[in-house]
Amino acid sequence: MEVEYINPFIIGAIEIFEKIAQIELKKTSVQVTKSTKPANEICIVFGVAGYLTGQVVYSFKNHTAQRVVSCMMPDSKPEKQAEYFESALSSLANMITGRATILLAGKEHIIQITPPQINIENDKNAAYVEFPTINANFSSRFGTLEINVALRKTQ
Amino acid sequence: MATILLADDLAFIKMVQKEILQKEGYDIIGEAADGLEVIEKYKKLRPDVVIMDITMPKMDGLNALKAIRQLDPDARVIVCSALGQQQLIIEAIKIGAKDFIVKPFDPPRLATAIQKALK
Ligand SMILES: [Mg+2]
Repeated sequence: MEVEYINPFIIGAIEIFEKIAQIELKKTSVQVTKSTKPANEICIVFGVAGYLTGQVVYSFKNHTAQRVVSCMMPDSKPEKQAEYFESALSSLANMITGRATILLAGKEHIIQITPPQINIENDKNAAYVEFPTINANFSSRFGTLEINVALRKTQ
Repeated sequence: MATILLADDLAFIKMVQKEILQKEGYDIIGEAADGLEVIEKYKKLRPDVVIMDITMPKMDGLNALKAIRQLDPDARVIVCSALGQQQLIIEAIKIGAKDFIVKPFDPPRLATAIQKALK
């Protein structure tokens, strides 16, 4: 895992949170860990293939996720926000991952991602990758966001 | 008014697109959540324009675009994806997409793409 693979996700997360939810994110820490297993109960998982191979996992605490969704749909009633809860979070994570792939692929390569898989109660059986991972953490006025990125160049 | 078919696996994205397009007076005649469903709905509904995501289950948007263009060489498909990589944009245009919109997009961008596709 190359350390520079994390930067596009950091840039993407800050940009997309601002644009889609008007939430300011601040990076608080970046470290190397052994797996993509998330720290929080709500997580969104992407598989990556093409020029790079691996997995990206975003996770929030439930109360943070609720507030993020209400910022994404400020004019909607609570029932509508609840109806779109999983899909709104998946869309947000999808756009961050998409933004990162643009930066990582450069002019020549193509990176594919899988549709997002959302787990809303930290499913212990979910298939997380046991592979050197970069763990990035962010703070916001509604709580923290964690991004775990495990990528390598496809052989 | 022109008829539109929306294809995206994420309901939130289709809800946002629908709100923008209905305000512009377009008629959303169908929605699909994967690549196979969008081909089926295209056959049945023959919309004026399809707004197509790339990353979808069962079949991705680029393969669905190929299949739709085979069914109807005049099909007007606009790709709308978060994966705005240069090589993917080139590929989509090569197989017949009228335009490529990168998510997140500004609402006027979507409306302009449709006006252009309809010309
Ligand atoms: Mg998608």
